[in-house]
Amino acid sequence: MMRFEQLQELWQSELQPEPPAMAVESRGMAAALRRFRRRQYVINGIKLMVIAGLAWFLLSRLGLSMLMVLGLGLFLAGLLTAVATDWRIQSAIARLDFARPSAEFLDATLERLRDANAPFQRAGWMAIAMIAAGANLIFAGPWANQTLGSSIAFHTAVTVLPFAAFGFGLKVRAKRYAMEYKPLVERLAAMKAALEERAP
Amino acid sequence: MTYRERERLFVRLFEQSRAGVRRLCYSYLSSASEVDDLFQEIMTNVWKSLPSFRGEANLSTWVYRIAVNTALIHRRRRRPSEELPDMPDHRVSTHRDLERQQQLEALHRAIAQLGDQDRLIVSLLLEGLNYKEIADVTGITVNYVGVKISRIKQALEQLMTEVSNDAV
Repeated sequence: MMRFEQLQELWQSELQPEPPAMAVESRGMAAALRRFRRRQYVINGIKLMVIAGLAWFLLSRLGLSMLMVLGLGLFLAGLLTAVATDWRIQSAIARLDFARPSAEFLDATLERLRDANAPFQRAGWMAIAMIAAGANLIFAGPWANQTLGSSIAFHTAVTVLPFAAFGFGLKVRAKRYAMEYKPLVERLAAMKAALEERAP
Repeated sequence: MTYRERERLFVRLFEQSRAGVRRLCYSYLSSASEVDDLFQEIMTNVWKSLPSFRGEANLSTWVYRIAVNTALIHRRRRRPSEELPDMPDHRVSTHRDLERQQQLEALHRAIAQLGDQDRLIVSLLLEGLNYKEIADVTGITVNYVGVKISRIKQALEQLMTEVSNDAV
């Protein structure tokens, strides 16, 4: 039977093939990282532009009564809160600190991955409530002269729609999470348990 | 740290650690193409983390931390048991070389049968890191590293015997 020191010597004597040339191309790596970050900025930038466009459209079409300005403010604040919360979580996942000791690294990674599954929690529902309230205020003016029945139906739809869209979004996210992250989370949790299992 | 300093440090680290990091990749993964991907990913993370390097840890320990953490979250395309490592294609010229190559293959087969964590820890030990350095990399206590390593050594020696017997 070989002793461990012999195994160590054998292991260290092994020559490895040269890595692919691109691995040493640090400029290429920096460019890849910049591309990844740029893509995140582009996606979130588009969301912000859509919000700004929506604000401009509503302002230019609906006029500027106090009620509408207040509604628009609430609506935009709700949208911005939702986008900012999501952006913060994406950035946290993109900025894992690989130089930490593994036990701490696994903790932080698991926490961030779990956050990705329930990104909004209370803040998300509050943001949606703000969007719904804002939309109701925005449309309170244009619908003032309608019949009571149609007005109630419209405002019910305006209130329910953001919550329904949010609920649907959460379901889609949960499915994506189960496909993309859940196996990884389970594996990391098992590794963490193995790393920290009590010595006899 | 300026871009030039970062680049110089990176090239130095790359030269110093590539053999060890690639051996660690081979102990963790199941095929040569995956090793290239993981190695690339590790080096990308080294480059990305360089500006935050404060010099508290030994430079090689720091690189191993990044390598181990990257390996832990690296998604493998196949299950580990499906394929054994593609060994580098060495030209075997003598009987002694052949024997050495067989021993290396047996060692890789034995390591491949360990769990993910144990594989990484034993690779660090085989690379010559001491208990304190392994504790620095993994974040567990030195005493517990000792306990884990004595278990892994026993398991590895037993696996080596089984693998050698199977080969005969």
